[in-house]
Amino acid sequence: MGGRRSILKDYAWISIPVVFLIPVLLLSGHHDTPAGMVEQGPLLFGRAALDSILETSGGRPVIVNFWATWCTPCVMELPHLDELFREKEGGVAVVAVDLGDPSLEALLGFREGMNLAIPVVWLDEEQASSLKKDLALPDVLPVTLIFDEGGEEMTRVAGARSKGFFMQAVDGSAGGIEDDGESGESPELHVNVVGNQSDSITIRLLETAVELAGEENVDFYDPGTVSDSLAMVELHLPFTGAPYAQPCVGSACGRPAGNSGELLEVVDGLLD
Amino acid sequence: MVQFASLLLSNLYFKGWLDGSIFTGRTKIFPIPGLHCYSCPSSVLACPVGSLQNIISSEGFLGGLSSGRADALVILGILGILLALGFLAGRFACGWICPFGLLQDLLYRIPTPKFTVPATWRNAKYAILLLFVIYLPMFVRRVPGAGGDPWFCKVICPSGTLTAGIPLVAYDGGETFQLGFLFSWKVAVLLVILVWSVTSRRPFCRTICPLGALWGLAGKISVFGMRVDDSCVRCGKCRTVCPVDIAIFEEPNSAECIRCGRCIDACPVNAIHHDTGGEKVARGR
Repeated sequence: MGGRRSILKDYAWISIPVVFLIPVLLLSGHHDTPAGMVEQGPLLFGRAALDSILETSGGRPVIVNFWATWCTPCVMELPHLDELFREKEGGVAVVAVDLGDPSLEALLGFREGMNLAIPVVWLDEEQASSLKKDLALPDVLPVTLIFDEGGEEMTRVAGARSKGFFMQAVDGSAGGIEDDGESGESPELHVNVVGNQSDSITIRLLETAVELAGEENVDFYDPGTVSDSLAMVELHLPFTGAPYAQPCVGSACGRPAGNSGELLEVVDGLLD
Repeated sequence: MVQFASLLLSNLYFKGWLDGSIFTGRTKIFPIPGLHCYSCPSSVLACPVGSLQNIISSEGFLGGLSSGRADALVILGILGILLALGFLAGRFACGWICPFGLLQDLLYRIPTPKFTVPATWRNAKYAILLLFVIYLPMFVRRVPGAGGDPWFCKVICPSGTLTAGIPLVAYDGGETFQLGFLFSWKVAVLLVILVWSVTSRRPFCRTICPLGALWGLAGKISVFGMRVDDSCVRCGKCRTVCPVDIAIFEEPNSAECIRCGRCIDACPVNAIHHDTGGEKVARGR
């Protein structure tokens, strides 16, 4: 008995590392769960969060998607990226960077209904403009950059793309990707104008939009009418309480403009 | 005094405590010789144990090491700095520099009943070094295709909880950080170790610290060591002042010794000395 007790005493120290193994076992028990199965990915703030995602991508291809809640094609595109992220089970790092919302509230409200597994990074206006400058991003959304395993940028596209496009982009070799975005003739400018027709700013926005894009390429929505507001929800056009015009070329959109001068400026950037 | 000065020097980014940010300057490439979280708001140096795990846990680390990939080879630099210190004077940094050692020294001054820690428990820190700093970060993958986790930092390190985890969460109100089981676990580990430090001498250094384990092993053959000469009367005064509870006359070459030198001052017959390998060789002849 005495001998057994002394052996127990001699090896009691083993209990120290064993106790610390408890959380390891609890946490690593899910190691076969693909990263993409999580319900909602993290919402992160600031440029540092984005940089840290890029730095820790650990030899995987990285898709960085720039979007905003008011950008209809962006919102249509995000579920494709999310599906790809879930299917690749951690083999590809995907991050959606909100580059165009002036306030965090817009993103928070929007995110509730999206259920995205990919991490979303929110940048304030200052950080967004410095990032745009650093990466030489065009003044449209969505823009997607794809980096290879070594961190080299291999693809850059403006405008929304399909899941198949991104699959091919990360699987295929660098450079050899078919652009399925806008093949054939170049797409035309299209402007959605939101406001009340009795309002002078809205009328001027409409006139400018028609001048720029032609009558057939301008759609008008009055949030005061039921049918228009339903259509706005469908298209993810924001309800801001003020009139605006949102120009798009194909599936790439410029930020909503609040007056004619701003609209001209945004369209200029869009057509560049 | 030296311990307080080291604490101050490695924590010069006071602004971090004002706004809950973390220093990200160039000095953070250099590991502090001691256990001190690099996410501590004021820390300007890197934690050597955290850095080791970070590199070991990176995806394809072993392959990267063998093919000479730069991010894997960084580990040689960190190990080089650590082992250079270890081979020079064993665990001296534990006694002179490590802020968590200082904290335990201070806690032990609180007057309460005191208890000894069984000598065999020293072995635990070697198991923790092998398991939590090397094996688990290298091989456990919770996200397929991504790197591993720094498990020592994640489930044990009380210094990280105290100097980084709790302050950062306090600043953030728990909004960005997802507080959960792990946070509660680590706070519990911290509390146990803090209370244990009041009743026993440096329990963390002796039973858990993987950095102490690494330096202790190197200290077995370090240039600067301790020597007890024949005038020793085995009175045991050295042990009563020893922060790691060793009888230096029984094991002058102990991997536990943190070279603090308190035994030298306490010895009534001046039998204990700092020693260099050169003298050992000379004595051996």
